[in-house]
Amino acid sequence: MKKLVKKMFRDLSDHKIQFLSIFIMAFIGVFAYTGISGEVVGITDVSTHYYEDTNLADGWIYGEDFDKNTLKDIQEMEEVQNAHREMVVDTVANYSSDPDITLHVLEGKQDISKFHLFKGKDFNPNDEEGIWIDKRFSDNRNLDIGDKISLKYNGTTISKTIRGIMYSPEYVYYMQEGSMLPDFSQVGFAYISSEGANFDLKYNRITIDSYEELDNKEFSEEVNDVLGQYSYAQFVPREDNVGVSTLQDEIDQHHMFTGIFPIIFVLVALLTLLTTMSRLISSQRTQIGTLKAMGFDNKSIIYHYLSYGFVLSMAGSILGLIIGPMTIPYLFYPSMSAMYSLPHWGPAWDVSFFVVAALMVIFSVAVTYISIKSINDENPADAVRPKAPKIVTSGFIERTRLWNRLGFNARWNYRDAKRNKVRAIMSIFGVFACALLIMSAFGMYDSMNDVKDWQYNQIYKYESKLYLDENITDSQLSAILDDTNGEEMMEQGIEVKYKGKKQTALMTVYNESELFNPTDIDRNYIDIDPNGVAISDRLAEVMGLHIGDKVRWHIVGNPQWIDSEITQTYATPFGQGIIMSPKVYEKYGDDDYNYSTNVILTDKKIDKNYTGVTSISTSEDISSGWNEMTEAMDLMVYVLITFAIVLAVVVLYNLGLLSFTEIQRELATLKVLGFDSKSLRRLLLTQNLWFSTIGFILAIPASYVMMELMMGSTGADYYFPIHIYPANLLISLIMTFGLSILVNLMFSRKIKRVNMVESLKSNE
Amino acid sequence: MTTMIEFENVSRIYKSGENELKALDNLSLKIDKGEFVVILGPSGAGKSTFLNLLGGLDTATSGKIIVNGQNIVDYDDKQLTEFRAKEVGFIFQFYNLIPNLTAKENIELMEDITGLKIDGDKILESVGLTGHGSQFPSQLSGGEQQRVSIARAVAKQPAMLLCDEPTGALDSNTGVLILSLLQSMCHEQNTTVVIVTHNAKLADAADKLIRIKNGQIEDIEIHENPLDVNEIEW
Repeated sequence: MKKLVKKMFRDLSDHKIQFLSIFIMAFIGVFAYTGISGEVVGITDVSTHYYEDTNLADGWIYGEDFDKNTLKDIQEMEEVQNAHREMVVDTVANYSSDPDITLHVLEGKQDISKFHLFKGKDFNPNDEEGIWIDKRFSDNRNLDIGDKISLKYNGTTISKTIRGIMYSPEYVYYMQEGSMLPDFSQVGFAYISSEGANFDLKYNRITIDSYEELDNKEFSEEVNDVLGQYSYAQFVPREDNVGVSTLQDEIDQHHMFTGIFPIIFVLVALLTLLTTMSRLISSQRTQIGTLKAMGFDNKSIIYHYLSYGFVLSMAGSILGLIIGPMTIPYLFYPSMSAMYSLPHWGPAWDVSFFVVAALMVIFSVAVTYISIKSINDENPADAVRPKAPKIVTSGFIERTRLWNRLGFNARWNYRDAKRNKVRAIMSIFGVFACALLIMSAFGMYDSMNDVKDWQYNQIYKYESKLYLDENITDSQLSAILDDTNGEEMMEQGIEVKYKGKKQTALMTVYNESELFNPTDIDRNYIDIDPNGVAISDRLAEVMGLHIGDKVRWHIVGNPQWIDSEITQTYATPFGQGIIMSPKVYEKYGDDDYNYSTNVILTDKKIDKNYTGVTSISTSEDISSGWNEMTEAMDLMVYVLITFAIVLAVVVLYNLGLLSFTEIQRELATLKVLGFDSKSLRRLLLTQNLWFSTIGFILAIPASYVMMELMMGSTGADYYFPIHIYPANLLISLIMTFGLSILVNLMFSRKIKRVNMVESLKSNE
Repeated sequence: MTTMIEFENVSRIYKSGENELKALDNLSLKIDKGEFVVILGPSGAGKSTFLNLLGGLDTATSGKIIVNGQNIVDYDDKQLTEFRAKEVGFIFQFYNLIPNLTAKENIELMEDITGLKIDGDKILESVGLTGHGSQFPSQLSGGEQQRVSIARAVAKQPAMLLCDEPTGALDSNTGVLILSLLQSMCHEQNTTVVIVTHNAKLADAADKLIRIKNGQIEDIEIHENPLDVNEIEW
């Protein structure tokens, strides 16, 4: 056995490239899978642990002034493990540009939604002078332990000394009002003890820790029963917390975006690994026969070769398993942390990672075993001889007239592919997968840009959008309209019901507009019927509604349901909903709903503050917000394309090498006969180009199907049509063929170096 | 008789690390056009090295190899390729046919190199393989494959046929057929044929017999009346 181990190491160094490629395939497969999935897995894992460690509330009850008995009633509910009272108020900190600080006044020490202390002392309910401030605000305002901070609330100034700097699980995502991007110097949150309150204490929130996951609807009703006297009390479950839900949406979105990409990587890597391994074993055929003839027993021969596959794929997989989650996810953290606040960002390992790594090893060992077994089952006399060449016969194509007009190059390549079907199919599959990945990545990227263009250049033509205070007076409104030359509009969140399905949506009510231009699904502008109700295609699809059906809706917060007949459809990528004119709105709404403008669109850039305007969003804000939001996706596109290229090069090089080793003798013969290196290179390139063409053509419809699957899972609020710009399609094409040619060039030196003398000596 | 090939003090030294192996050691000889030359010698004598240098598969370390007045030792890769394509027909011990091409296609392959129009069927007929044109090498016997290989070599009408143990993998009856084919091609078409072998029985059939040992010429015999291959006692 010792000598066989020696042989293994010598084989390893003799067939460096092939063995290296087995190692690399196992590594890349696992690395790509764990790296790409690792981002989502890591964030999910970190946030889940964060919520658990801090015991994030399972829900909150919002009200006005909860007394001790009410708290007790809640605490005694069957589902409730524990509950605390707190007072949550908006304050303004005494710094330049008046940052908003949400202040939590805690009643005693709390074990629900505990904050995560970054620095300083833990919360102390008896500390009347202390305040605990959030990390990001303190970073942006250069605050530290011991600093004094003053907050203004309802005319009272609250002055405290910072005792601790922390993160809170209730604030994974938060931002100042009317903005698309958080500016952490302008917004923050803080905790003080109720002992230190120098103002009227009114507990307006109860945090709940439940035994099991709450059935929201049922629990909501029970809470209402318990809190009979508080008509304003409202239960909000954990998943409706802005931070929790936004982060979850982001995770889902990334999940959708990565989709089945990692699986494709694994598949390609696995298949190439299998082909290489089985070829490698067949190339050792006569050696296996010789070992057998010398009297080695089957077992030690099988173990000897199994150890090749095992050692190499194991090493590659383990390396991928370690490095994948430790590298790729870190690319995403900077852009993610601009939006989200987690105490730390780090990798995590999912069970599936280990499954993929194990699959790599198991499959490569299995395929080694099968290849060896088939050789081992032959008697040694046959096995010491090279396998008889496969009989090739002339097929249909060879009998056609066209065949006779084909040159040697085409004939040779056609027969070579025919004789090596597995290798041919693998090469085509490799190119196919690579082109599929590149095209889909570009497609996702283009589709996002396309949607942006559709929404923000075609449908929205305004420069600024002003959100109005609900108490704005008529004279204030008309003054703003005059000054901005604006268009009036009402936007309301509604709930839509149809045949038992329920969905939140956006209602837009306006008369005529030049700055808001709805389109149909083909992006042609359409006029909204002033006497009818239009529904967006996506909402209609989700609800199963058609023109002529009656949709039931109500404005969130108003209990009155309205039935309206749908007369028209329109298409929009974001904010699915319904559109109608004020006239129709008032007709259907009767006494319950009256039209009142709450949004003004204008083509002017507004940067001054009007009384009665709560916030302004400009097209610039939207554009930069969009870019920030899609940054992670853009990054994913680059990562995918990079992986696709690496994978394609390794796969094509690998298969090229296999083929090269097998035809080396033929190449040498052709060289002796007088073919120059150039025509030999062309001989190999021809096949590559054929396979690339087939692979690329197959990848076009496949990438559409794949994008369709991924885009289809964006959720009911979005309609993202698939789009790939011709330029990027062309780039995909150039990349695919470029890689094919590049790999061919990698062989040009090898072709030059084919040793005519050595290759002709014998059949071996 | 005109001199076609001339070796002047040719050496081929293989170096591997500290070791030097002199495969050919200062060898000089002349071969005339249309001669049937047999090169005899034991294993490792330098026979194959001689043939490889003459065929342009390998380059001499020193000395001159003059073929048709040109010193091919000075040739670069490109010129050597052209030399092989135009001047040399190579016949191998293991035939080295292209497995993916039929017998006829293997022969017509030479069209791509020479630019000549080649009638595969006619050449197959001349080596006695009429009707085998559409068969692949794997469907042919060893002797048939070697005949295809000869047909391929002569198809481009080379100045010389270089044969490296052409009968080494064949039984003796088939071997005689092949050698007789080569001899008649030499005499009928005035093609120079150089056969490298360790089979001493072939000696009497040669116009010129060259014995090589340790990379040097042992002796050269000129036969005024060589035997026909078929007359030799095998």
